[in-house]
Amino acid sequence: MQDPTGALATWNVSTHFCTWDGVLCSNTSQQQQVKGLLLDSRQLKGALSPEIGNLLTLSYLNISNNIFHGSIPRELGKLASSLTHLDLSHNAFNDSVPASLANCTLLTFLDLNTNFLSGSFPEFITNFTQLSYLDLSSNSITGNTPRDIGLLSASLQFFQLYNTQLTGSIPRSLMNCSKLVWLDVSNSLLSEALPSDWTRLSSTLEELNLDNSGFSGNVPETLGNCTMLTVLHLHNNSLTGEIPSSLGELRSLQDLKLYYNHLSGPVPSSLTNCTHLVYFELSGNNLTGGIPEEIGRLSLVEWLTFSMNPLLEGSIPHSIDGCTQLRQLSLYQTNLEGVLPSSLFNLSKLERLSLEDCAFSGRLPELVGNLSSLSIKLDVSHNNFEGPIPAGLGKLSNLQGLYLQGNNFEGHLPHQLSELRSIIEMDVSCSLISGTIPTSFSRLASLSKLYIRNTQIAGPIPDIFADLQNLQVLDLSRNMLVGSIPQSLATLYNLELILDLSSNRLTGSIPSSFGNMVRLQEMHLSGNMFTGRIPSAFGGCVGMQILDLSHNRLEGDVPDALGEMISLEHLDMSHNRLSGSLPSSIGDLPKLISLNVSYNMLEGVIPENGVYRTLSASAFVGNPRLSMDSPLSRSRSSDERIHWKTRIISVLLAAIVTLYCLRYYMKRKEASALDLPLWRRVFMRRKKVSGLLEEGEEDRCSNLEVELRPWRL
Amino acid sequence: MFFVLILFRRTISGDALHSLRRSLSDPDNVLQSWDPTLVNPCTWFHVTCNQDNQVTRVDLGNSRLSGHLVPELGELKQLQYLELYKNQISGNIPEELGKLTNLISLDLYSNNLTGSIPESLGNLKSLIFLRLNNNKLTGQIPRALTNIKSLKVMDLSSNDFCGTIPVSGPFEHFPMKSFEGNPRLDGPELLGSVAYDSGCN
Repeated sequence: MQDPTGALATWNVSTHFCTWDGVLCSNTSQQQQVKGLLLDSRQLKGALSPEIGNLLTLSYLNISNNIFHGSIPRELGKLASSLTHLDLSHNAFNDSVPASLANCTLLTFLDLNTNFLSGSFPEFITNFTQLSYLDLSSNSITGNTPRDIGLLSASLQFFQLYNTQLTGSIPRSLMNCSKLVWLDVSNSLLSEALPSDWTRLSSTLEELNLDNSGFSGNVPETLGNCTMLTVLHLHNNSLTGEIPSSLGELRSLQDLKLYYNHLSGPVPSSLTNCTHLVYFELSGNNLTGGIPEEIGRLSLVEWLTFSMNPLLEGSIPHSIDGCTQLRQLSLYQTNLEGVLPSSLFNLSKLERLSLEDCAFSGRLPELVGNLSSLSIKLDVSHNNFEGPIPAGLGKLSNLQGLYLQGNNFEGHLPHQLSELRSIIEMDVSCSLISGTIPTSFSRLASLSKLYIRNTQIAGPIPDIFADLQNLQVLDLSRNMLVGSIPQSLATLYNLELILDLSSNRLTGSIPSSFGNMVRLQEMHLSGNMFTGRIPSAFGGCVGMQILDLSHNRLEGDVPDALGEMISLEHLDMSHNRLSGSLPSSIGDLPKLISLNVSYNMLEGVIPENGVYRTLSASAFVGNPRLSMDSPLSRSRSSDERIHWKTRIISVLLAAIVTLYCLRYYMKRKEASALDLPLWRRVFMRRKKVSGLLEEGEEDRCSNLEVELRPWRL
Repeated sequence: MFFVLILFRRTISGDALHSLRRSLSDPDNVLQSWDPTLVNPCTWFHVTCNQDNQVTRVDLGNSRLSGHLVPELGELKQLQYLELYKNQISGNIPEELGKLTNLISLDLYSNNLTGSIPESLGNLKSLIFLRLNNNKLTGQIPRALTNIKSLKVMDLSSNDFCGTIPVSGPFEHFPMKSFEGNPRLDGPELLGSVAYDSGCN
């Protein structure tokens, strides 16, 4: 055994063993005997010597939290007449529990958790009729749970078998263990229904952890008899049926987690009697009805989550401000509706408010500024809120995430938003807001992701980016922005992720300094009126995966240097006025999947190397002087099939052209608020190069921001 | 419906990042939003996911973090950008980072990292940016790194590397300042009929 920290430095033969560190002796008889070894957390390493079996008076052995490995020596069985407390937890023991341990029937405490023990559950433990504490968790034990665990009914108080590979069900005989205080079989492969009758455990059971397994069937009604319960964890299972209202009898309950099951029916109002609740989590079920009206009786609750219950309805009860300790309120992805009660804004300890994807309406009041503890996020996105964005939001100096997108907010962006000095992400997209982007946004120094897309925002892009050095995503697409790209944006070299200015009315040229955005992953400039040449400096953008310059007025050559953009996967330069011939360098780009240069004024011959070979005719169509006439015909096959395919293609092309013409004339009839040339609106219904779908000319957001809402696909 | 299943179980990436959080000391509470009870880490700040809810970026540069990196980082199979620069992180670079075959950028510069560069980093076939400068790394510069054709930016300066500097593959183009501040580094490897490698102790 190795002792790197010198914990056993006192263990030398010159002194009496009872003075050695970690050795506990009896001080009764003349002849001193070793009663116990307490050697936990000393970084001891090596095998546990079989000589341990010679300490025939040993009653207490604790070597927990070291690095012992190898098998548990069977010689421990020799300690049958003395050993009462055995703790080998948090080591690296492997192999199965030795059968000789069955002799140790005097054991009251047996803890082997967090090792690498294998084999099946040692059934002989059911003979340890004085066993009070049993923990075999976090091992690789397989097979069934011990059927006869009920034999320990007179003694067993702590039963822990979490994080194992045990299968089957909770043994019914466990329900006889009327002294049971703590039961944990979570994180297992156990399935099947829970035992139905918990009455015999009703006077002692304090903590019940059955989470993260495969339990099915109902939540047992008789759990309501276990009035000593403080923790009830049934989350992440497959439980069905209704939440029994008997759980309202659990007056000591502090932690109730039923989330991620298939529970149905209402939230029993009796649960508001559990006034000691700190954690009340029911999200991810199929609950119906509303939030109990008297929710405010839970004056100690800190985490209240009813989210992801799509049938949950009604409004937030006025009594909510009774929950004075509330830190997190999650109601997202429900059918909750109505106007937010003003009492909600008395919750001065609230750190996270998640109301997204519901049916809330009315205004977001200036009172929102009273939620002074809001730090992680305020998310009211995708509801039916209306009216102005309150300037009171500026008071939330700790707020990191502000999500207002997908509502009917209108009016101007209040300049007070620039006082959000902790803000990391802000999204005000898909709304009716108008006016300009406040120049005071230059103060948002910690801003990482800014989304102002699909609004009525107009005016120029302000020159505010010099101090926004943490910016990773800037999405100002689908607005009415005019003017050219300001200097501070042209030189924002640290921009790392996405720059999207598409579908605006921007003019001027594309700055060659964009070539210094070495790590930028996506650049979308399509649907504007950019002029001038494509800068060959783009060759420096070695991190860029998507470049979309389509639908502009760009002219000149396609630069050869684009062949240096080694990360490029999608390149769209269609619908411009590009001339000259296509550089073969682009064909050799190692990761390029799609290229679109259609509807330009390109000439010469299409190169035949690399990616060019795989592209279809649609990538090049609309370039009258581009020679499509290469031996590498766009559908390579025999001559006969070429003939047949050309026929089909020309019929399809004719049909498509007719369809577009029809659309063109239909669009002419509908006057649009957006003052865009007709030809552009016809082509606006298109799949974005990056794979995200757009929804044509509607003002509502589609569900694009997957990174903000992970449940959405 | 497959995606529904993803919702209802903890995810590997969430667990991996949670292991990282437990191993780091975070005085500014930049990891406050890293809530382990959420379905996946895609709503956490400083974490970016792709459309399939796979973690593609971890951005924790300049965040006053200390503590250690964890081998579980190797489980983030779609990770492209691992940005942990300008902190006080100590300990080794876990060899499990070699499993991140989609990694484009590995920025661990300006920390207190020790030990050597794991050979397994030679498996990072998509790597473009590798910046390990300003640490206390030792040992030889692994020759396996010469196999990463995409490597464009490398900075190993201000460490304690020894032996010779590779000259093949992407190393042909790295300027000498990528290696300065390594007093025990012997200079470029001489390729010829006689192998010249002073080695390290």
